[in-house]
Amino acid sequence: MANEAVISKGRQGTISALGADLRKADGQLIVRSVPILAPDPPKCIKFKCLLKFVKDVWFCALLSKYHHERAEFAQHGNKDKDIKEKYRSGNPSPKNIKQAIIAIIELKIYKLRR
Amino acid sequence: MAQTQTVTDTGIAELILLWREELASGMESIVGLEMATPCTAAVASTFADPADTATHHVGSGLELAPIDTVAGDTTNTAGDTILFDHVFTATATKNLAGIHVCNNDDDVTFIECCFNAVLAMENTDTCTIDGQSTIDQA
Repeated sequence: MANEAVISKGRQGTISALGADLRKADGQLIVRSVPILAPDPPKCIKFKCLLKFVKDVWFCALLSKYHHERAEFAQHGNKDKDIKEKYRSGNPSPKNIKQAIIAIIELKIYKLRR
Repeated sequence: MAQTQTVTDTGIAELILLWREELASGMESIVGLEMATPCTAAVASTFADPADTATHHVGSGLELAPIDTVAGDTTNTAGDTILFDHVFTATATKNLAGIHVCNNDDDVTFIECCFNAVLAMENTDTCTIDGQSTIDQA
């Protein structure tokens, strides 16, 4: 696969994952689109299970926001500019809610500084 | 917007037809999806009716074409995975919102994928697709 973020379960029993690299003719990476892990449904109705599901959904939403914004940033107006490689490749990808929030804030600051 | 991808209902139905040795065909073609904003892949999408308001590209290097490489692979149990790779080369400025992976008859979509963001492709830009699908025992 093109990226570490990888697998999304479309439904039980079938899994599809896909990476897409947009490059210039000379091979230089413009942006990479990466799969987002879809949260598994809760496995029980205990508070602990429901809380985990809520956290997973929240993380998925933040991760989606980050990858969408950095993919937009890497393309529009910055295609030919020198920007941080992580905004083109999506690596490293945030691994938890805290990292995702920090990544989104960092990206916003980075955009404002440019 | 998350990148979303899924095996479609019609894709599963085509697989079942293959198992039953009825009239059906395997993974063969790929086509780019055109839409100004990111789409969301859906199991109900079909070859004729892609996700949201997306449509199939009909030219500019993103139109329906044979997949460059299709191969078997193993994820959990031997031979449970299919890998596919393809490179689109744009011949004009076009938006690429996602892709459809289709059968040999070009009437069934097996897999639909919508990207994190719409890829703004310009002439000679390439988009390399690196995909896999697994039928899992889970």
